[in-house]
Amino acid sequence: MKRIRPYHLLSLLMCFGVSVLPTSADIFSQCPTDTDGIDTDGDGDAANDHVCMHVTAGDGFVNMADGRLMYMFGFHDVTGLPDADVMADGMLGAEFPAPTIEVSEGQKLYLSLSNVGMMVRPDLFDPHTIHYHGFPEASAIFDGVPGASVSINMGSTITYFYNNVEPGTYMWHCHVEVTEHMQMGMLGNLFVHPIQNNLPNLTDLNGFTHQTGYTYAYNDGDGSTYYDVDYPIQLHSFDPVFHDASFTVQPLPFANMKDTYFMLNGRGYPDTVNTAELLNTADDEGYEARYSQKVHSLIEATEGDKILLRISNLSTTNFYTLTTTLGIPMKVIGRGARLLRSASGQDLSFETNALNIGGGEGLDVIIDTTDVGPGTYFLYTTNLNYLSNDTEDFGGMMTEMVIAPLAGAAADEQRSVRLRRVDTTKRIRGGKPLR
Amino acid sequence: MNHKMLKTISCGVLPLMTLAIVASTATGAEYYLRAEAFTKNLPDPSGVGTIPVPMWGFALDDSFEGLELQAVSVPGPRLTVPAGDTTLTIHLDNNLSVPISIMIPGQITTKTPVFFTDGQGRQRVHSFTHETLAGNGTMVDYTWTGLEPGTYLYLSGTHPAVQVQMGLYGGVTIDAAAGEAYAGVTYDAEVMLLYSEIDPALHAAVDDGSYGTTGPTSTVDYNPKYFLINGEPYTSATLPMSAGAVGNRVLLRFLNAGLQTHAPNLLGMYMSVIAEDGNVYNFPKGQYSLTLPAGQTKDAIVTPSADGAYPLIDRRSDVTNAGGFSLGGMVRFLEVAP
Amino acid sequence: MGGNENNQEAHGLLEYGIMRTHLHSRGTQFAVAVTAALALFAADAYAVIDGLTGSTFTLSANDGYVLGGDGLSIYTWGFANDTGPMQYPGPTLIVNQGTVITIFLKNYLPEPVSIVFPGQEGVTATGGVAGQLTQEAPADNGATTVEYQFQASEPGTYHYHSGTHMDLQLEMGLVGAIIVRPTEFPVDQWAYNHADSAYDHEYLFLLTEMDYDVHLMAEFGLWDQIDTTTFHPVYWFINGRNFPDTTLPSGTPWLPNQPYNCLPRMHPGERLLLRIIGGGRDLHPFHPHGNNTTVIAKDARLLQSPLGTGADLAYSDYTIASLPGQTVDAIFEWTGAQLGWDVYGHAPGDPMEPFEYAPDHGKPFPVILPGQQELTFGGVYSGSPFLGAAGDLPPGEGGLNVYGGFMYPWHSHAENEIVNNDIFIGGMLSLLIIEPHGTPIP
Repeated sequence: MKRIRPYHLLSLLMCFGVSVLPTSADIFSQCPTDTDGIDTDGDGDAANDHVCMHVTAGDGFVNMADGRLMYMFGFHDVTGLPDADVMADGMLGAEFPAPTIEVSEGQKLYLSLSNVGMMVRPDLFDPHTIHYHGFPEASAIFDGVPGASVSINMGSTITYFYNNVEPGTYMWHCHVEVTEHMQMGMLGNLFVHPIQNNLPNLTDLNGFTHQTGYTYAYNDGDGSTYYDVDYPIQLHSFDPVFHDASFTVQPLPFANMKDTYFMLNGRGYPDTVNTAELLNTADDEGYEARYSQKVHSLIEATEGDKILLRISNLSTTNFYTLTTTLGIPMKVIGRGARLLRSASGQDLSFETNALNIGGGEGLDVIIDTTDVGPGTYFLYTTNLNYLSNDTEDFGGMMTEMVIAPLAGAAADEQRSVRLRRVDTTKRIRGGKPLR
Repeated sequence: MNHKMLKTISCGVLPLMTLAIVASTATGAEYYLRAEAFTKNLPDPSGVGTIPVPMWGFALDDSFEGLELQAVSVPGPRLTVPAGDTTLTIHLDNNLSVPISIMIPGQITTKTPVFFTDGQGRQRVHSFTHETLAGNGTMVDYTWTGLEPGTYLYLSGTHPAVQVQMGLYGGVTIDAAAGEAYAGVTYDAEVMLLYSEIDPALHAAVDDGSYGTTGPTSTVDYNPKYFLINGEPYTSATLPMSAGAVGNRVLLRFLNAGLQTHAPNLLGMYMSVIAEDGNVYNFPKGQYSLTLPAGQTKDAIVTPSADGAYPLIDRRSDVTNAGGFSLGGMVRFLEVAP
Repeated sequence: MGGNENNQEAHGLLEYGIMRTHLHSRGTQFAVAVTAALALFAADAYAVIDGLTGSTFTLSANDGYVLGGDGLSIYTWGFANDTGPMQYPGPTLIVNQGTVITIFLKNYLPEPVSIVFPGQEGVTATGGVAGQLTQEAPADNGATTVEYQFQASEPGTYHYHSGTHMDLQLEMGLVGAIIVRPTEFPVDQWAYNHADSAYDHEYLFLLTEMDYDVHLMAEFGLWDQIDTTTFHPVYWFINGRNFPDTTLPSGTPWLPNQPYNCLPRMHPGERLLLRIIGGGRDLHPFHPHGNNTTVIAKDARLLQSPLGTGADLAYSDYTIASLPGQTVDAIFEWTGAQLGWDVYGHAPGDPMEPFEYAPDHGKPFPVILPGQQELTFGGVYSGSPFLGAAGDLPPGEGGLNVYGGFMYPWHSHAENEIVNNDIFIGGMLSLLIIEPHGTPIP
């Protein structure tokens, strides 16, 4: 799964009255140094709490699972690329979903957004924004709503700042002409790891013993949101008539918006279980083919694992209901980026076999595979007619969950093998280790 | 006033109840089910006469390929696992022309999915579990052990987008003990409410073979016209459902075998919603509205303090019969005796 | 409000937008012209939810036209207050807990009408003829009166709607809200008899949708052509209006049949109560920007554990799924805490604002904003990223954010619902304004 890698610019001084004045419209990413001397993310290093990412916004293409090429808008990761190279790499580089943003509690995210324009539609001069959906106590300027703040024009960069203090599952998307830009695909996964992940080895959490490398969904204080593997699963759907109208410079049919491609992480089944990044066939239209679908949805775990599904829905049209064939309940432990526990400590979590999720809703679901035998299971929508890639059957909103046997090793041994893979020397400063 | 502590089971119009052929083994319930095509007559939207719609459904037999006396129905026969028991075996006889299977969502059993390879060499799933081939000569078994108390659906796990909405679904219930749905949740009366939909055009295409060939090639344009509770749309001839008496704890078992979310609203009384998909909540929810997403079940307890007929209406306005003058569709009256 | 104006100027002088090409602080000039909504200052600070109070009401089912946000007239059925004009939604009835409520129904529509009251128990109906769900008033041009009666025994947010030919009449607009004040009110501004439901401002969000084709066929009497199983909504409403009309004042003269608005406003640190009603037939995922909200009640019952008090089972969420027929009460709060920069643009020595997050006081704005030429400016952006301040705007922009507040869209997150019949932007959307302290909010 593609994650944005942070990048640290040492050359930029950030203070009042002194700034580098660029030439007028310009790509200009910002990444101030962390000089506050406070280890806000709790990882033992006080100088690495600034996480910097750079994305471009523009247009591109993706292929649906039935092969159909769809024109779309999207974001593209250019973190680490010199500013001078960003336009060229960003143009026609849109990805669907947008690159996953993964940060930790206590980290300050500097998210630069550069607008590279629409290559297929040079008549469009759409600005773009980033809306960090669910960010607590948001300020208008960084909330990304164009009417209530500012949006970035073509050829320029705006840098958003987010002090991540609430762990959980969120999402992000463009909010300019939001019905159009979201239908066209400018959206992606976003989540924040809790600071509980960085506790010292063997910390007692009310009877649960934390070990280095253990991961939790929230600061549960008792290990109740511990998980072995996590997967973001974002729901979305395309209306091909709308996308084709955009491609062929026609008026956009908002009133008749009817989605017929139903997707998880930007793909319909069976592409959801293809672990490769997918190359689009934009060359069929005379454009450069790009890798534009980089997030698969194949869920893999070992018997006994706890799987955390970070589920969000950014469809512009539908609620969707999801279920699995595991035969065991899913436990909803968080929603709206909050632990399901009342202010007075009541456990509000619940078990279910069907999750109904509307646009803009986010759920954290833990599946304990202890009693599930090894095998191939399915995560799919019970709105069964959405198991379609438009007019193609046996597709749509479905993925597979492959539970591997322990293969003779004890569950504890498997877990410690996984922990050893989390080598702190491989950590990117301020980021999460690469998988 | 003295009430008889009756356990009345109200399931609408079903040819068979749990009083019928249940071969209880020492470890649970055993059923012979037969899948077959049949025709269902649904109300014409004009309000006069009926329209025949081809369906698939299950019938309850007393043996494999025996006398086949019982009629096919939608929903299929209600299956009951004796209170406190944990095992269910279904012997399946498939009289349809395509393979089928049976799943109980949320209840565990060994599953061996069946795949096929598509035109691009990609593997796609055809059945979530093992299949029963068309016209099988030997019975195929589906077994669950370790069943938990609750209200569940059983439905086909094969080509689900087509087969479930054709009618291959029914309800399964398991109580924790006699008169006790879950541990500590007693009830005096019970009402079973299984919601589903029918898209007549899609049924016709599946039945005449044009689905997947000259007609629709996927169910993306699913557009239901009939809305059923326990297999029947509401008409002026629909009788109220018996829902216990004043002071009873009445268990309402909601199941949605449809493909769309429904929203039953109860008028005149609040429900205490206690469980979903057989999982009891930590805290019950006091509501008069209920959201019933596709494939989900919910259990609620009402304790009526007054007799009368309480309307239960689908607030999604699925209350017509193919666009005819309402009320139709997903409406029922819960009759509480004095 | 002279004192308040001085405050605002003071706030204005404090701001300085950090622009790449503008390095010094700027003074501010607030537009003197205020929109009618902001100029209203009701004597009764609690009466922001417009409606009828009392215990006896006469509702007349009548027809008329509402204006879509695109300017199209839509033939609509609605409940009128007695002999008043038809309105959509019907009058909000604001009653007191324990009172026996009597509602007389008269019918001027071409088919029978009735009213049902979800969430009310022991509703009696007399007069008229027996209908599908309750007594109905026949289509006799108001000759018959049906009387409905119930005791509003529990406080909370409820609604009423037609109980006849429901799929058509609900679509046509026969729906309205009911608010039952707890016995504690008005001594305590609570929604229920517990402090967990305390609020400083309350707003109604009655969510509905319309399939224009049905209204067109009804207008021309083509009843047998109406098929509500093919549902194709193209208008989405909050309190009977599409955005941007939701932000206009209540009682706007040129929306005579849509008297209610939806413009939530608050100051930092206050509690804002959302009363959300799923008044239509569709689910709507309602997303208030700015912060999570805390859901405290559903279907007019506090989320309470069997042995608990108040809303001890309240939970926080960033999107509230509004389900058909269901009501939700939620509390929204905002202080700008923990942003990592001073949201007021203070210098470290400046005095604190009420509810300001002290550790961020005086912290600088964290990035350099692009220059004017590189940005597209929002219509309600003040020109400054700081609360209570204004800044440089290009010529022609500005004037819509008089107090320098932070504006957030509160809207359905099924974005096809924030459209007016093929025209973006519109539909089920309004704006929350977080006003700097001192701004009058009725």
